[in-house]
Amino acid sequence: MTNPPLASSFRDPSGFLFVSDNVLYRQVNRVYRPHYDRLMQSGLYEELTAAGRLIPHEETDLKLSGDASLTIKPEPVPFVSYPYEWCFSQLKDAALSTLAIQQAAFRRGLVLKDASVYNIQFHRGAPVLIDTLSFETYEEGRPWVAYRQFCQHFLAPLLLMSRRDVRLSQLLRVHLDGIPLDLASALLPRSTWWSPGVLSHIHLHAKSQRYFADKPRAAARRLRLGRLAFEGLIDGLLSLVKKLRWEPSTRTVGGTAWADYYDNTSYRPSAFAHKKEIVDRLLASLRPATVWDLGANTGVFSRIAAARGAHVVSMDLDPAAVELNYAACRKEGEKGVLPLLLDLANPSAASGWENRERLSLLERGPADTVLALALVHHLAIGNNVPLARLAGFFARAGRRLIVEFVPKEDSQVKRLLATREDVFPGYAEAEFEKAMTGPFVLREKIPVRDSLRTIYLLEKAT
Amino acid sequence: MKPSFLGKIGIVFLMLAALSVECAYIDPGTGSFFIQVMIAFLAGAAFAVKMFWKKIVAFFKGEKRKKATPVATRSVSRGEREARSFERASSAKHD
Repeated sequence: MTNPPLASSFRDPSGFLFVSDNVLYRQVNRVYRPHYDRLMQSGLYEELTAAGRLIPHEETDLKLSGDASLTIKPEPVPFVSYPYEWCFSQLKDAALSTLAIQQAAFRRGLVLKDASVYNIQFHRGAPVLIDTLSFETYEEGRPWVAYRQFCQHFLAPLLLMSRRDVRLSQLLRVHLDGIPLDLASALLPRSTWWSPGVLSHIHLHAKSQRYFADKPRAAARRLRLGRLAFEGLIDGLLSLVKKLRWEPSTRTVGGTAWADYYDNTSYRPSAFAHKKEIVDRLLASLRPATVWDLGANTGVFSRIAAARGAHVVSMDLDPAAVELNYAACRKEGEKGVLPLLLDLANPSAASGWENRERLSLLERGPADTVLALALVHHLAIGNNVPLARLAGFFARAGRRLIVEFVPKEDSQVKRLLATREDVFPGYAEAEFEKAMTGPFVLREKIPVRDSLRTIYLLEKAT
Repeated sequence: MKPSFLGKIGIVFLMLAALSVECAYIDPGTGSFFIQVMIAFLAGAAFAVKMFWKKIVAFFKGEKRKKATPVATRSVSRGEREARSFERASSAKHD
């Protein structure tokens, strides 16, 4: 019996991913075998897996068919995320990791044959190359095949986020093969023409692409690149990427309202402490393996869930909050939290070939437990979502739900209603409970001390 | 004329080289190849200067240390030498 490749695994003739008995495998085709052997025998595999830069795998004795030479079983990544869901520093770290891998490979006579941003996943808190078949034997004189892809997948979005607007990362949702360089060049400020790195890798690169667009490929085949020039190219890209910055601040465009939410919060420290206590107690009893923290802000509750052993996907729509969340995770060495930029009013859609290459958010679930703290009022009042539809969404996202209800009398809701007409007569505790107990069964209801808020534990009705 | 054995190897090698260029499953892009070679020419020169400079700096730093801690290398065993160089390296990290 042969297993079909995953829908996203069809471009590279070196091999493909497939699932058998709920386990993910990667087939290594005969044509790629010499490169795979070189990776394993050169010491590069040990070096990169020890540094946590390459996903470890085991060789299996699974029955081979067709073009197969070997089947490997990579260590599973608990949640697959995409670059349009990453904050600036996540994309930057992924770019730096890709270049560091290229440098390590070069020292052992190999190169990266692709530099796709989708080959990087966040695993145990750090960017990891998940495509074991990305390496090939270096041939003296040959330019870097993956250079164009690196510029489009990493450099262009990073520059746009850093030099124009952090929200431009969303261009990656539309351009799955990276941001076209002519578009990046047009969008970047004129001042970037004075930066030698941006000038050459983006602006002149875009012009060169345009000039050669209708020229025969034979012209490129004669081009040669010496070892030193190759190393210089990678070193130059590395220093350019290292210098890029984006600081979350309330003054930055895009670095907005929520980053300082916990500082400006209206409710008392005692209420916040009690809320933490309640959530921790519930998670300690539930012991979920996976948690989705919806509207996670800077991830305070995500880290509580991670401390209870869960793998937490910590989602927020504010780039600044995600940036701070990621920075805190890196600083604390938190490996169980994956901060992601996600707008629940418009979560990532399925995209790519046949709409099956990149999965939608809900296709990557459900989670064992969903955390929805200080979120319901934003969706129900801020985005006019009826409470029953909200309950329906939660039920698709997870099996259990820890949700906080914030009534109209709370200052946060008052703030939301201050700028608009109150067309939400049904926004009240009783209606909320009624809506939630449609798909869920109520297990616990706990009022938060010194506040008007209530936390509920709900479990899906079976 | 039949090619010699070495000639045959040469032909096969050339074919493989040409094939491998064709083999790239992603389009490297002619324009990207061109600009890459132009950039890398300059970057390579800059990289060479950088490496040379690093060596000079390392040379002077190394010299200073040697003067500060004179070592009678002849009577030092290999293990001790390695331990000392490790200490030197780890103290350099904390500089």
